[in-house]
Amino acid sequence: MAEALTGDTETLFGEHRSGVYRYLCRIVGRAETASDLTQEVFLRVARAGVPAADPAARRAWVFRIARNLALNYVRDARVAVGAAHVEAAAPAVQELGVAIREAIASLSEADRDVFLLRETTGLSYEEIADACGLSVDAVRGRLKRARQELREALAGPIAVHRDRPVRFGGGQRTED
Amino acid sequence: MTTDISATLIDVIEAFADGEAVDPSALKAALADAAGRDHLIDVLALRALVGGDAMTRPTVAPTAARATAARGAWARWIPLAAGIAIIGGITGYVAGARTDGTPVSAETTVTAPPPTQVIQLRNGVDWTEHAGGN
Repeated sequence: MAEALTGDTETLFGEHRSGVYRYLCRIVGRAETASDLTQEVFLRVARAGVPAADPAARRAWVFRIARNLALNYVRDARVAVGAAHVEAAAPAVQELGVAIREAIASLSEADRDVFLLRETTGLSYEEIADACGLSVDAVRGRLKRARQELREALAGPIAVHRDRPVRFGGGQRTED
Repeated sequence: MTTDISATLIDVIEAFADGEAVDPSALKAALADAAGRDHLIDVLALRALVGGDAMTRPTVAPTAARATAARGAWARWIPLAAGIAIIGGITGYVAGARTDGTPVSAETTVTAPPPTQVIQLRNGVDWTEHAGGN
């Protein structure tokens, strides 16, 4: 049993470490904090033991832990979502990064949650619904509203990106 | 931009962009509309902006000190790996001891036995048994 448990945990770690880290980066805004929280997520996974469930349910379970940790961190640290410190980066990059962070921070917490889970981790609607305790229709609605607001807030950068090569896929996948 | 665009068309395009199952005829109709195609590009452009790795890359230019830290960044995962190994080892030992060598299914659930006696603790009441009992 120990080998199976450890193997499951390691498998989840290998598959979702990057996705969890990307998601936490967007929420907490600091790479170092996101890295620490990512470790904490998988320590909790190891302590709790991986549930016997299909891969989608396990994925949702991991991101539910990540989401709860992230929300607790933001609440306890009293920091604005994505409020990273920006130091010596190129001014244009700084400006774009700040604009993106501010636009995301302006979303309602529930909309932001759903949007970031979708765009930074590639979870399906059903997995997001599972992770957030919502219906699939609610996920679809929140995602649509979040995109609408972000498209308005980031109209300039999107216009620039519209003429660049785009990659089509289901969004960021959690597997490395 | 995607100004005159129906809600249904948006739903179809976004579901398609998100890898969800969509009705082929609805998708054909959505992509036949210039507004639908524009919306798809906008969704992908927004994804590139937000979901891309621009944010997850440190925005701070590496200084000498940070470069040193970055080189050792992978070492940050060592405590986690050690933690997982220790927890796995302890769990394995406990599981082995409890099952006397008998393999345990992953689906096995262990529940606490029902209480045989309930002791109520109240201030000022000596709950210690002085006589009788087993």
